[in-house]
Amino acid sequence: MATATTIENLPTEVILKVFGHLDTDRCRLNTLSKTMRVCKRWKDAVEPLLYARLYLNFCLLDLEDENDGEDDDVDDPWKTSVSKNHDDLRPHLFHEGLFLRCAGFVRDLAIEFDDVHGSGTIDTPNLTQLIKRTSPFKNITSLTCKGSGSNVSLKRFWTFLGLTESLFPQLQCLTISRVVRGNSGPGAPPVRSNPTNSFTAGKRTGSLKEIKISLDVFQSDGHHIHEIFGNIVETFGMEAAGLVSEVDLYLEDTGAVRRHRRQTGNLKYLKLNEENGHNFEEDWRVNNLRRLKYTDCEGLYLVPDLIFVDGGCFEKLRWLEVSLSNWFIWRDELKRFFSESPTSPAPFPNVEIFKLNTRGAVKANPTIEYWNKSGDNKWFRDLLDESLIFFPRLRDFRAGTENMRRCYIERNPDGELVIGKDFFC
Amino acid sequence: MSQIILLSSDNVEMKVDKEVAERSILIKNMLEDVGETPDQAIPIPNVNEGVLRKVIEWCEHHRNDPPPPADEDSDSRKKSTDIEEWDQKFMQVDQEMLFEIILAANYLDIKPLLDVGCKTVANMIKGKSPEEIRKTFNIQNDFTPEEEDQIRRENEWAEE
Repeated sequence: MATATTIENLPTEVILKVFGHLDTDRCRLNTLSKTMRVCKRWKDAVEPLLYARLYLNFCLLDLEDENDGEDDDVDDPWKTSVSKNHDDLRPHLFHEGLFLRCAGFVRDLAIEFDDVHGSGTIDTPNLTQLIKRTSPFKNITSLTCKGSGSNVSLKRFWTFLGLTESLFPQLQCLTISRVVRGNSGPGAPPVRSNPTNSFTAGKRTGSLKEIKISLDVFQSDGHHIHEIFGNIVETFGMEAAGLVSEVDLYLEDTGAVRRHRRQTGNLKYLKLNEENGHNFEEDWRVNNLRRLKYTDCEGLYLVPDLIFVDGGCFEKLRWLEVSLSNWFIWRDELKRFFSESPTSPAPFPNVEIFKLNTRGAVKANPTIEYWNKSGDNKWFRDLLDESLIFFPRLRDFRAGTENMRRCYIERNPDGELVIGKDFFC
Repeated sequence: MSQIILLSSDNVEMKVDKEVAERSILIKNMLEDVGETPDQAIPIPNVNEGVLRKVIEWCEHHRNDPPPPADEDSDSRKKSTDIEEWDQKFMQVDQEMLFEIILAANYLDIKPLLDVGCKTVANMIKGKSPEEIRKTFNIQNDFTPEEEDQIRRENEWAEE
C-alpha cells in the first residue's frame, strides 16, 4: 500500500526553496529561528540561512580598547558592533563559540564605515583589528562596504578594499556604497588611472567577478564617480574597470555645476574637466556594465560624460533606469548624434529592461499629471514607442513613480513586435 | 493547434495542447530532441493521473504568461505571501496533493508552479511556533530536550 506523501518526502533542494521564501520575509530572523527548531533536518538546512547575511558597524567597534581575552563580556564591543536589523541581515552574536561555528555560514557581509548612530567620530580606527575580526568569514562571496569618509578616511577605506581579495578567497561580488555631501575639498586623493600601489603589482589572482557601485552625491558635482572608478583601478588594477557590473548614481543639488553654468552662460551640459580643476584620465572603460540606475536631479550631466564605455556603446547593458528628465536630455543628444553619424553603432543593443522614473517630470509636466490621474495611458505608449527605437531588444518597459506602469514586449518568430497590455506593478 | 498525449504513472492517457505541455521544460526538451510531434504517448512515470490533471490545469491557466524578465529587481524580493488569487485557490488542496504537485513541478521542471507550491508551504510555516509547525506537517521532534534547549538559547536573539 502506498504511503501518503508528506513534507518529509520533499528533496532537500525543494525544502531549501521553501525556506528561501521564508528568507525574504520581513521577520526572517524570527521565522527562520523557529523553523530551525522543528527537527534536525530542518536545523541543518536553515542554520546557514540564518547566519548567511551579517552586518558589521565599524564605528561601533571600539578597537583601541579591545581586550582579546574577554570575549565573554556581554559589553564586548565586537558583539554590539554586529547588530540585528529587523527586516534584513544582521544578527548579533552573543557567544564566542556560536560565532566561531557560524562565521563559516556567512556569505554576505556588509560593513558600515560610517557612524550611523551619531556616537562620535572614531579617531584612528585600527585596520589591523578589523582585518582580524573579519578574517573568520572565509566563505563570504559578497561584501558591501559603505562609507562616506566622515569617520574612516578614504585612504583606510580603500586600503581595506585592497585587502579583501586575500582576506576573503571566495569573494565574488564587491559592492562599494558611498554618500558624498559637499565637495571633497583640498586633500582629496588625486585620481590616477595608472595603478601604482602594491595591491596591483602583477595580475590579480582573486576570485572577484563583479564590482557594484552605489554613489549618492549631494551639493557637489559628478567628479566623485570618476574618483571611485580611479580608486578601483588604482586598488585592483586596470582590468578591474571591466568588473564593474552595476552603477547606481544619484546626484542632487549640484551647486558647483549650477554656478559654473550661471557664470559662463553655457547651457550645454558640462564637461567635467572644465570644472574646478579636476583632471581625469579617461583610459578606463566600464565596458561590462550590465545595470545602470542614473538620477541627476538637475539634469546637468549626460551619462556618457560620467561613465565611459568604448565608442559610446553600452554593449553589455541589460537594465537601464533613468529619470524622465535625464532621459529626454540624453535622448535629444543621441538623436543629434545619429543625425550627424547615422552609421554609428546602436548605443544600447542589449537593453531588455528600461525603467523611466517620472517623479520630477509628473510635477513639472501637467499633461503627464493629467494623463496619470485620468488613467489615460497615451503618454506611456508614446514613451514606449520611442524607446523601441533606441532599445531593439527591449522586453520590459516601465514608467512612473512608486506604482509603475509596465508592459512586456515580445517578438514573434517573424521578428514582429508583440506589445502586451500595460499594467501597474 | 497540435496536441500531444501524456501517459501518467497509473497508465492514464491525457491529450494536451503542445503549447500547454511545453510549460514543462522537461517535456519541451524531450519534444525538441524528438524533433516532431510524437504519435505515441509520452510517459510521465513519477506523476499519477490526479496530480497530472492538476498540473495540466495549472499549465492551461498560465499558458499565455510572458516569460519572466531576464533580470528582476534585486531590491524587490518577493514576499512569500505574493501569490496570485487564482493560484491561491488552485493550491487549496489537502497536504498530500500539495506535496505531490510540488514534486511533480520539480520533476517536470515547471519553475513558476514549483515557486507557487513552495510559497504556499512557506506561508503555512510563517507565524507558527516550532510545535505548531510540527503539528501542521506531522513532523517528529527528533531533538533531545537538552539539544532543543541549547538551540533555543543560542537563537533567542533572533526571536526578540
